[in-house]
Amino acid sequence: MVNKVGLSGAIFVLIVSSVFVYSSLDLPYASEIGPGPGFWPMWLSGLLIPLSLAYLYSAAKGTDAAEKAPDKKAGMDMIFILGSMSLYVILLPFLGFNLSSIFFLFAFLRKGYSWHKSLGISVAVAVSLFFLFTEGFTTPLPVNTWGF
Amino acid sequence: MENFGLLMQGFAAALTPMNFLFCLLGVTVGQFVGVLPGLGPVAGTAMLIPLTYGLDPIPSIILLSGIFYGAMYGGTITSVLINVPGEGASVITCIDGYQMAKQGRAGHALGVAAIGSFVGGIVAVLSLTFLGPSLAKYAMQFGPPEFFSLMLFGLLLLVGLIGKSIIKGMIAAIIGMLLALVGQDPGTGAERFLFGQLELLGGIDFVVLAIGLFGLSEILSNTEENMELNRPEKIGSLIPPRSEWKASLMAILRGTGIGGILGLIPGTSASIASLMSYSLERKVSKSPDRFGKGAIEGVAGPETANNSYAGAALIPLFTLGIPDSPTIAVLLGAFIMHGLTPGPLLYQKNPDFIWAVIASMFIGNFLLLVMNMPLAKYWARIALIPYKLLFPIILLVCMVGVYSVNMSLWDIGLTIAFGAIGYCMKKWKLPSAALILSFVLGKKIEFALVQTLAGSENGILVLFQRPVSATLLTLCGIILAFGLYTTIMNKYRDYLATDETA
Repeated sequence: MVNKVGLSGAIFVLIVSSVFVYSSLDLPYASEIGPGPGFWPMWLSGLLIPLSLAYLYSAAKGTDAAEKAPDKKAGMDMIFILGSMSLYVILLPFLGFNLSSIFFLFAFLRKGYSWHKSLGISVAVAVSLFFLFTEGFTTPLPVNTWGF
Repeated sequence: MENFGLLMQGFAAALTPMNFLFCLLGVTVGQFVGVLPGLGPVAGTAMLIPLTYGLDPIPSIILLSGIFYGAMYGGTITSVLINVPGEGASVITCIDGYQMAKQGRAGHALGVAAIGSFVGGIVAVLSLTFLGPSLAKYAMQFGPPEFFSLMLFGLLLLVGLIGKSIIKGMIAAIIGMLLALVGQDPGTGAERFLFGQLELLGGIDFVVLAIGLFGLSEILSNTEENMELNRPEKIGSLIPPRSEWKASLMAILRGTGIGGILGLIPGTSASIASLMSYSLERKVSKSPDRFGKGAIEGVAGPETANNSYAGAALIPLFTLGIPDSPTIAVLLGAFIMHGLTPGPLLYQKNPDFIWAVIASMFIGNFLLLVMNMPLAKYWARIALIPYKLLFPIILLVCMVGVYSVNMSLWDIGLTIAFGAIGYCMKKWKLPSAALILSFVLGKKIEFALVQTLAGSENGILVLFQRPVSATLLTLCGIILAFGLYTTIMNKYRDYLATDETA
C-alpha cells in the first residue's frame, strides 16, 4: 500500500532537488583557480536527484518507514502554533514587542488558565524579556509609535 | 607537564568572577534543560546561542558547553523520580531508576548517578586535557585533501549510523550542504541560490536553522504527546548501601570507558553510549534477571557513559574541528559565530580560550555534583512546571533570540518554516541531525575540496595519492556499501513481511 506521508516526503525532496539542480545550471562550473561556484552545488544536487527517486520508489511501493500523520487535534494545535507565530511576525513592527508578545502569550495561556492569570503572566514575561534584551543584552527590539 | 601548566592557567581564567558566573549559569541552565521533558540539549543550546552574542568568546563557550554537559546530569532526575527522561540519553535510566524509586531507593539511584556522572565527566575532560594537544599536533600535518576526506568520513559515519536508511541519511546530509551554500561563493563572490531574496545574500544563519529544526519542531512534535507528569517519588538517603558499592564502582568504570571511546567516534550519540553500557552491565552481571527491577548497575553504568561521552565528544571538535553529534554541531556553530575556528590551530592560536574552557568543565562538573546530590529534590519540582505554561514562553524566547541575531523579522519567518520542515522530517524519518551537521560542515567541505583541486595537477586523484586521505576515502566507500546493503536488506525484509501479511 502507498505510504501517503512517505510519498509527500519523497515529492518534497524531489522538488527541492529539482530546484537546486535548475539553479546550479546557472552557476559557472569552473573558474580561473579551478572549480567554479557551480562545481560543488552541481555535484550535490545531481546526486540528490537519484536519491530522491529511490525514496519516491520506496514510498510508492509502500516500503517506506514514515510515521503516520498527526491526529486532528494535534494537527489543529500545530496550525495554531505556526499561525500564531506567523501573526506575531506580521504584527511585531506595528504593535511593538511588548504588545505583540502579550497578545501572543495570552492566546496560548488562556487555554489553560483564567483570563486574569493569563494576562498577568503574559505581561510579566513580555516586559521581563523586553528589559532583559534591551537593557541586559543591549539589543534593540521593535517598539510601536508610543515607544514600547 | 606542559599541559598541566597550561591547565592551571586555564583555571586562573575560568575562576575569574565573570567566567565562574557563566559556568554556573551554563550548568544551571543545562540542568534545567535536562530536567524539562520536551526540551533536549540540542534545542536548549541552540535556543541560547543568541543570548551569547554580546559576550566574549570565553564566557560564551563556557556557558554553552555548560548547557551541553549539564543537560546530561539533569535528565537523570526526572527519569528516576517521575519516569520521564528529560533528554534522550536518560531514557535507559528510567528502566531501573524508576523501579528503584518505587522501592523507596530514589536517593540511591540519584546518588550513584551523580557520582558516576561526575567520574565519567572528569575522566573525559582529563582525556581532553592530555590527549587533545597530541591529536591536534598530529592533525597539524593535515592539508586540504586530508581535511576533506576526514569531514566526509565523519559525515558518512553519522549518516550510516543514524536511522534505518542510508538513502534518507544522505538526502538529509546533501540538503544540509546545499543550504550551507546559499549566499555568496567564498572564492568568486558569485551569488548562489538566493531565489530573488536579498536577505539570503549573507547565507542562512545557523541559529535560524538550529532553532527551527530542533527547538520549534520539538514543540510541534510535543502536541502529539501527553505532557502531563506524575508526582515525584520520595528521595531518601543518597548514598547507596555498602553492599552495592563494588557493583556500582565497576559499572561506573565500564561506563566511563564506553562513553569515552564512543565520544571519539563521529555518528554516535550519548543515547548509544547509555544503551551500550546498559547492555554490557546486563551481560556481565551474575544475575541479569535483576535488571528492569531496580538494579543499581542499570543506573550507574548508563549515567556514567552519557556524561563520559559528553566530555569525550569535545575532543574531535577541539582538535579536528569535526562535530560528531548534533549538539556538538551546535557548539561548532557557536565557535564560528564568535570568530573561532575549531581544529588543530585552535591550540596554537587561542590557548587562553581553549584551556579556560577545559578548566571550566572541571569546575562545571563539580558544581553539577553539588547540584545533584543535595539539591536533587528541588530540581525534581522544576520538572513539574506545567508544560502548557512553559511552551508559549519557550516559543517567544526562540523568536526574540532569532530576531536578536540580525534584527531581522525575515529570520523569524525562516525559523517558522524550518520548524515546520523539521517536524515533517521527523514524520518522514529524514534525520535532521545529518542535515544540521552537514550544514555546519558544508562550507568547510567545499573550501577544502576547492583548495585540493586548485592545487592539484591530477584533479580528484590527488585525494587517493595521500595515504591518510586515501585510507579515509576507502573507509567512506566501505561505510557507503555497508549502509546501502543494510538499507536494501531492511527494505526487502519489510517487503516480505508485508507480502506475507497480505
